[in-house]
Amino acid sequence: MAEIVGLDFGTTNSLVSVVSGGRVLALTAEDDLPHPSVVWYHGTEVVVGRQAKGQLAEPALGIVGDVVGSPKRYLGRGELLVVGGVSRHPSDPVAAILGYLKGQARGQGHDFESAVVTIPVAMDGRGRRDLRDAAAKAGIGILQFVHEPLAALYGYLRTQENAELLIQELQDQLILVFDWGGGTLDLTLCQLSGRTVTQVVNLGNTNVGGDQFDLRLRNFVVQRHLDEHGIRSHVDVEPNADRVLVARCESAKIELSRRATTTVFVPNYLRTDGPARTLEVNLSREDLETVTTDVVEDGIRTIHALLELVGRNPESVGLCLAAGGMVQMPRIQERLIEIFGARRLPRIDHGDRIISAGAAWIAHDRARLTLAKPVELLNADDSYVTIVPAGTNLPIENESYEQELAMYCVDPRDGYAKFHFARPEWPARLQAGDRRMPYANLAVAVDPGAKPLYERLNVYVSIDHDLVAEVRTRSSLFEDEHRSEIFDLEFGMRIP
Amino acid sequence: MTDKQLEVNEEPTPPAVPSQVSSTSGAKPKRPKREPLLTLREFYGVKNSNPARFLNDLREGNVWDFNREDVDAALGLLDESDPKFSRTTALAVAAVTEKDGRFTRTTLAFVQEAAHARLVRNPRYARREGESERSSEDRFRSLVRTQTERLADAKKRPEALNLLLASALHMVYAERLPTEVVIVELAGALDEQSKLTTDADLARVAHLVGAGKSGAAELRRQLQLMLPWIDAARKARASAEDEAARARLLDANLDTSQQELDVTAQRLTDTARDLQAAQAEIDTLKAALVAAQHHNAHDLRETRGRVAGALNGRLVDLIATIKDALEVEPPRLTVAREKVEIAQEELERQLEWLRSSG
Repeated sequence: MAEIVGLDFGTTNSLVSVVSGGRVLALTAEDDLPHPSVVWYHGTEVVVGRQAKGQLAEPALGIVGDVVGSPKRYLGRGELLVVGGVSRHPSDPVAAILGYLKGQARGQGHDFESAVVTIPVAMDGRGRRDLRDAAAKAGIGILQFVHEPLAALYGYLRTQENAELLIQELQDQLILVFDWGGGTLDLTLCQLSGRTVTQVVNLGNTNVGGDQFDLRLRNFVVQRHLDEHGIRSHVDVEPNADRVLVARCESAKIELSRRATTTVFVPNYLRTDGPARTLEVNLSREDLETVTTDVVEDGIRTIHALLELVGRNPESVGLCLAAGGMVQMPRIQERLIEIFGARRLPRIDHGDRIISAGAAWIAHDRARLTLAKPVELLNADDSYVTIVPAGTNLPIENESYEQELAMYCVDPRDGYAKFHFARPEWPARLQAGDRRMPYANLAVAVDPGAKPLYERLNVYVSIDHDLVAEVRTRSSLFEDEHRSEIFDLEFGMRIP
Repeated sequence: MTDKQLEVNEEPTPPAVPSQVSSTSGAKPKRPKREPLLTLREFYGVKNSNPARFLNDLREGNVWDFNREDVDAALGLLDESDPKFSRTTALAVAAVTEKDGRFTRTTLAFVQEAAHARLVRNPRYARREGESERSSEDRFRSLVRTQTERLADAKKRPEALNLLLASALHMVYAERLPTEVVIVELAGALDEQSKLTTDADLARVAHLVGAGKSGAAELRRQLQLMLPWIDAARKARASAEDEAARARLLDANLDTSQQELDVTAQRLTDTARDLQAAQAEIDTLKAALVAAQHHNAHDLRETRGRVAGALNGRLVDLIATIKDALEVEPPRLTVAREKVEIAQEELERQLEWLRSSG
């Protein structure tokens, strides 16, 4: 029987998980690791995963020759990709990865056609639509999108032995969840009210992903090698030597999480005679931290920025859940402990799998996303009118939500009716004086000669299954119409 | 037997028929001339008035009917002047045994009204009001049943019997009630009270049928003829009662069977539910078994994968690095030693994981 699985389509790695017999099974690759999100167009063959990753000669994620590393970052850009001289739609390599994941799952006895798929908080509507198209190409229906950190929190709360006690302890407290992965740092600040997790604010940073660490480390090693040998001019690198260096830098990064020093060693690296031909660079943990400190601090600043967005400080956070591969890095762990303390920072055994596991639990529980905060429209008297109430069930696959509102232009003298769409900063604070966060501003032309409260203004709001809201406004006399897309809705989800 | 043969009886007072006992004493004293009685009020107002003479007075006085006022006045006197209804019954008998039947209809109408006024005080009688749609036989049988308890009471028995007789006379005359029905029902009612065997009772019934003292033998003969029927009827009734008892028993058995059926049905429902629960448990266990098989396969894959990952990924890479370090000139022994240490640590970590996950 076809199952509904949880699918974490990550920037660097992807993983399918399924709940079976009350346990989450991570459908990992043969090496028990998530599948690298890499596609290698090798002639007519499309190779995905570990074998494709082995072809990468650059740690940076992107297109290198006929290899596409992390095609996720191209979704929604509206540009064709040129891979090995062939133009491809961004959804093609994504579909190849998703199809590969589906085949791997089938090989492990888990056939699926529908999935709960996790997305970064900053992925916009076009990116979500491209991802849905890619999934359809792979024969996968996306039942529901879920923000990656929200899925991580759901999975964490769902699997704790002392979940009930934990839920009691965390009542009305702030929970900071972040996913620091290979491509992005995604953060969400949540509140737990009853058994419902509600997002307060989300933030993403695409400049501090793990790929930046690898790139910086590789460049540092090369530069140190050149410095040690006094080479100032360009020297060619032997064929395939860069691929070996990338792999050994990644190994060195892992080794430095367990020991103080290590050596990166690549023979026959430079196309030159003499000792410089062989690359032998000693690395210490301090070196790694030095070359990556600005990236780490950028990420930490993002955490503070998120809290500052809603006027809170780290002390107000009751739980900090750190997911993603990068949180294993000692320097990042140290910084997080400095900020939140060890008690509020639980250790997660499989930080690289918890998002996929959370999605699997959501699929298993058939948990539905709800709107965390109402979509509101500012009235002429500075009060806010609710257009879509908080708690509204959000559409799942092939569903949509529609709402229409009729208003009248109060002051048409300048020839425009202006619309300000917003939501409260905090989910339950709906008073006129409570702070709002803007969604969109629209203006439609109206008849400036019309009497006040004469020209009707229609407001339409729809939310589709990609969790993208569209606000559309129209004036009845001038028949002017404008629209705007909102993808940064905050969500809620009930823990069963 | 015809309705003309009916005659009244009074008990315990002597029957209101002409006495056949003659005085053996000397010359009769001359009686003062009696004033004629021309109304019912006068009839009931005079002590020991003779019904036959009263009717004769009426004939001679050219009175043909009783007016309403007279009837109401007489009804008002009845309780006091005729507490046992014997005089009224005697009046009825006199009216039906009269030669030309001139006063039969008028008198019986009064008697019926008087009887009704008396009977209606009995709640059992009152309950059968409105049964006019039934046959006269059924109504008389029903009337007899209303008096069963009073007949069993020695004090109330004369009045009850007179009321029955008066009503019977009216029904025989006005509704063509067969006289045998009267005899059978009265005999049956009296027999039920174990009184019929006494000569006094027989004599009273004999008076009723107008046979006088000599009629007792005839009545006995008639009763002997009828008693087998009565007996058959009683047997039939007894049989019916038996049948009814059997039916009740069967009903009781049916109830018991129904209860047993209900219990069995409940047991069946419980068993079906238990079966369903057992099936659900089997399904759960099967699902758990399938899940356990999946888990085992998954765990095995995970273990193999982790070991393979360690060997193919980290260790192969480390060994390749060691090989590279030893093959260059001059060999990089420090690098090789470091990578051997790392490989050893990696192996120990994997072994530790294998031990802890086993």
